[in-house]
Amino acid sequence: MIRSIQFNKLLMHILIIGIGLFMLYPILWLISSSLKPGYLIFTNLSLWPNEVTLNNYREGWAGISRVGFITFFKNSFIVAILCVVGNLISSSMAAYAFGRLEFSWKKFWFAVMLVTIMLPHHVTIIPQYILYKQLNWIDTYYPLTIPKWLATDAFFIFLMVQFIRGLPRELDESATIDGCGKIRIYWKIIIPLALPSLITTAIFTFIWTWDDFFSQLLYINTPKLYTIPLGLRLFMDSSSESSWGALFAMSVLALIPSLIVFFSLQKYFVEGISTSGIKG
Amino acid sequence: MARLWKKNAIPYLFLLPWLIGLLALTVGPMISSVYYSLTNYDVISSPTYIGFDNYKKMFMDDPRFYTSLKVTFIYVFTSVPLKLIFALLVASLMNKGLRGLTFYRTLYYLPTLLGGSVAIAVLWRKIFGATGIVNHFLLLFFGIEAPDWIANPEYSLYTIVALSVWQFGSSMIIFLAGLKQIPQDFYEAAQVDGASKWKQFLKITIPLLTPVIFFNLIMQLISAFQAFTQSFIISGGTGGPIDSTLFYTLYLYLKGFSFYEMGYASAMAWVLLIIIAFFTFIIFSTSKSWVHYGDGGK
Amino acid sequence: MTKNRIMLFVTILTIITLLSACTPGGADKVSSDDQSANGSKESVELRFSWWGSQVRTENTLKVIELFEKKYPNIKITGEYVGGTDGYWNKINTQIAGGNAPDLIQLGNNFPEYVSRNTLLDLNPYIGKKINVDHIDKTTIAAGQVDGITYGISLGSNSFGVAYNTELIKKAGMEPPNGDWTWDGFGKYAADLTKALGKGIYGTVDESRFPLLFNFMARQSGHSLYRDGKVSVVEQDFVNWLSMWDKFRKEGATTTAEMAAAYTESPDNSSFVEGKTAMHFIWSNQVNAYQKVMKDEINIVLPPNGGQSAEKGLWLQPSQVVSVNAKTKYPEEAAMFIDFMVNDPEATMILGNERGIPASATAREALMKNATPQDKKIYDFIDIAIQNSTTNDPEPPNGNEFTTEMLNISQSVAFGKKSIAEGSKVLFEKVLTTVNK
Repeated sequence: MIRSIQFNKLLMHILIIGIGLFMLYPILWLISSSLKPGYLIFTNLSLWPNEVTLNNYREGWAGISRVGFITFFKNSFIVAILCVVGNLISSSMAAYAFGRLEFSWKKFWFAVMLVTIMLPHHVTIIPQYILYKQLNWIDTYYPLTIPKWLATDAFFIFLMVQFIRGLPRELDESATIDGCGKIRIYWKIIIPLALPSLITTAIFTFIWTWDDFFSQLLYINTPKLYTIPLGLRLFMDSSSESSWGALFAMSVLALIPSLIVFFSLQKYFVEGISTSGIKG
Repeated sequence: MARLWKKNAIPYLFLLPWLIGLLALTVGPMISSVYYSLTNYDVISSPTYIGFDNYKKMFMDDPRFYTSLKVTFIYVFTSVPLKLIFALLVASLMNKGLRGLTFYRTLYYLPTLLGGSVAIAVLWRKIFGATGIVNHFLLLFFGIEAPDWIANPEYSLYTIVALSVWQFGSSMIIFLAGLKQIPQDFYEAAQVDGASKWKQFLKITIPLLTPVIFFNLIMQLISAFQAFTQSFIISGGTGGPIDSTLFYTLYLYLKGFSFYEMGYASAMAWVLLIIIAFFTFIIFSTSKSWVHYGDGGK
Repeated sequence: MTKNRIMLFVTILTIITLLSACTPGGADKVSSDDQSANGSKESVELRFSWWGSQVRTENTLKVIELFEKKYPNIKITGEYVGGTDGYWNKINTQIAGGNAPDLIQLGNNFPEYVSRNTLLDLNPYIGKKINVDHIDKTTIAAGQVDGITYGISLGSNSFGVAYNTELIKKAGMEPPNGDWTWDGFGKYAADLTKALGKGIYGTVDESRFPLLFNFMARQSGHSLYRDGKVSVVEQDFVNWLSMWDKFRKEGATTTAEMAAAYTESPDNSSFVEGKTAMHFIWSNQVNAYQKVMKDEINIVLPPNGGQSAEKGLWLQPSQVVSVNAKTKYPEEAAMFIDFMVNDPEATMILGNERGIPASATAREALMKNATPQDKKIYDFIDIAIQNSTTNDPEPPNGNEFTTEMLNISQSVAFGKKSIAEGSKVLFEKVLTTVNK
């Protein structure tokens, strides 16, 4: 009996590792390319670099004319953190309203919220740009961050609505009997219980903002304000001389914060909640 | 009046940031795009009103529009179910008490983390290219000389389906978060009753996970209809070979930004919105019968 | 209830403070609007945007610094982007939003912006602010539409056939000398394929590129777009597609599948991977290709059209610099253009990264200090000039035609469309896109 359980576990590990290797491949390729001299990156596609150089990292980190990569990292952090906090607060507030509260026109607003995700964003880029121009927001981080504080990413509202609606209603009913108001229920019951969805929101917002090239390209003009996705593209121009090595080296470094955020936040998934634990 | 105020004051307060964002930042550009869809607009000069000509041209006189619709429908109906099933299975595996789980989870999230980088395009060529891993395998074990899957218009779309299934990380995380929210004492009670693991999965996990399954289904559907990045990197932004990976949104992007027909692109966007809304509505109307909310479905 | 109210206010307050706290970068932003409002001409701020990788950006920034040192009252902010795909989206959006930079780097597609009234007429500045004494007429003409100058060349280019010297050695053949017809080119490529064995082909399949199609059409006196009209005929497409079809069948070029597998830019190229021995590239791309390849490459003239044919080749600016029609400081912008193309130090810094410089004096100075690699390019350009005639502007809405050409070339290669059908579609397409 014990033996078969261990065998099953072993099998499971092998399965997970097997698929995992397949998942790991692009990262290995990226790291290996970042260590190769330029002329080997696209000619020699093997994972093991037969010539190793750290030049790509040196060259990449230096960045371009005194705007080193460190600036891009700093800027990306500012933007990403402002977005994460904004999204957490504004989306959870809206989600609580949609998921738990009763109010007039609820269904209408909910439908409107869903419709805002359905339009391909390519066609709102220009009117949006004109709007932000009128607000004098161009070349600042406002166009990247303020929308998150106003919950324009309906994806996250809908996500949290689903999690909040999955929570047993008896919880807040008993809290109401205990004299809790709606705001207190939001803060004391819903937020802690919907924590997995908040963590998911934080992870996704961080990573998506960290990687978002297009809106950062559009709204930021001054190189000192450039973020990592813009910094990375500076190495690459398929029509002229690109520094692919530096691009891959900095891509490797740029992955690290996302990995750390993911790795450290998803640990909070571990604690499964139990209804009995909350009442106290 | 006072009653209405009492009922709505606090909910609307919670809704306030979103409402401000909607009215100030989202609605305006959306309305503008409706107007653009009725104009001839080359992005640089100002738009000129042409009524419903863009819509007429789309349905009557643009075979590539239909090609892109077909490609997108095939993609949606193959990639969405595969990706969801895969993500759910892996998430349930990841939810077991295996050692090193946080490590595995990160590993499985890696492909999603890389998103649309150059590395993905190169990798996909290494796997599905003429001399890629898949073909090595086929030759070694079956003696088959297989085509270049990416460059062959018959198969290229399915390599992108495979790519999207491979990037199942986001759905997996959401499932995982959902699994974590299921109260442990439900399982403890079932174990006392002697229910098998499989039975627990069917009778507890799945029903309690339905709100999250529902969410993933809707969101994957919407994002699959709007799929853009994968084809953009793999085909180098062309939707080729021979339009075989010309996704709807890729075509829309080409029209708007490459061919300077923003009016037409806007019209395409609203047609897509209606298609997506239709499918979303169908799923929503079936949800009462299969999605179980902790709030009793109110 | 009062307790709730307090909570509520606290929440709102927190949100407001957090919102107002996020003002990164907003404070030190100075736009040219603010400057003119002061009415002082003392200090001028210009925005200049370009695309290009690290090398170009470094060079251009250095030139900006030099310029600022010479004219301390003028400040130039570079707005640079890596590749071109994002660049056009950004420039177009900025123009649509009325927020385009004062100086804009454009390609041979600048007439698109002229027809949309976004570029400044530079004629009043030529000879005054912008010295053109050392720039020849054809180079100036390349930046003109109907005699009005809208852009000044930052460097000229021609294209040729690049070949992989190692592969040709391996095949035991003589390297090409550029004195060949299309037939000769095809035969040479087919011989290469035979000598190199399985999986390696003589040449990249170039049938998808409008540029090269136009090159062949020009040899018979036609052009995709000349004097505001389409002057190619359907037969030109038939000739082009059948020629590549023949090359494909003779094994001179890759299979349909292999052609579709590569975009043939340096990061995804059969030529770079050593699976093809020849590839048509721009002269300023020689360095870019060499940088990602171990085997040495060389460039020679592309095939000619035979004895009675016209010269098909041309030199064109790889990039021009133009001025936004809405700029507040046209004179200062013109001064900077002059500095970029004429100042001895600036032209030395810029080198030939954007192509061969417009000014003859700059060209001579550069050639003196050329590396062997660069000398190859200068030598090639010398021969190319002798075989060139005036360039034609890019046809309007060129992207749309390019996409169709890719589509049709692949359809023909995969046997999904006949050559006759494909030619008909392409000919109709070029007419509709030009007259759109």
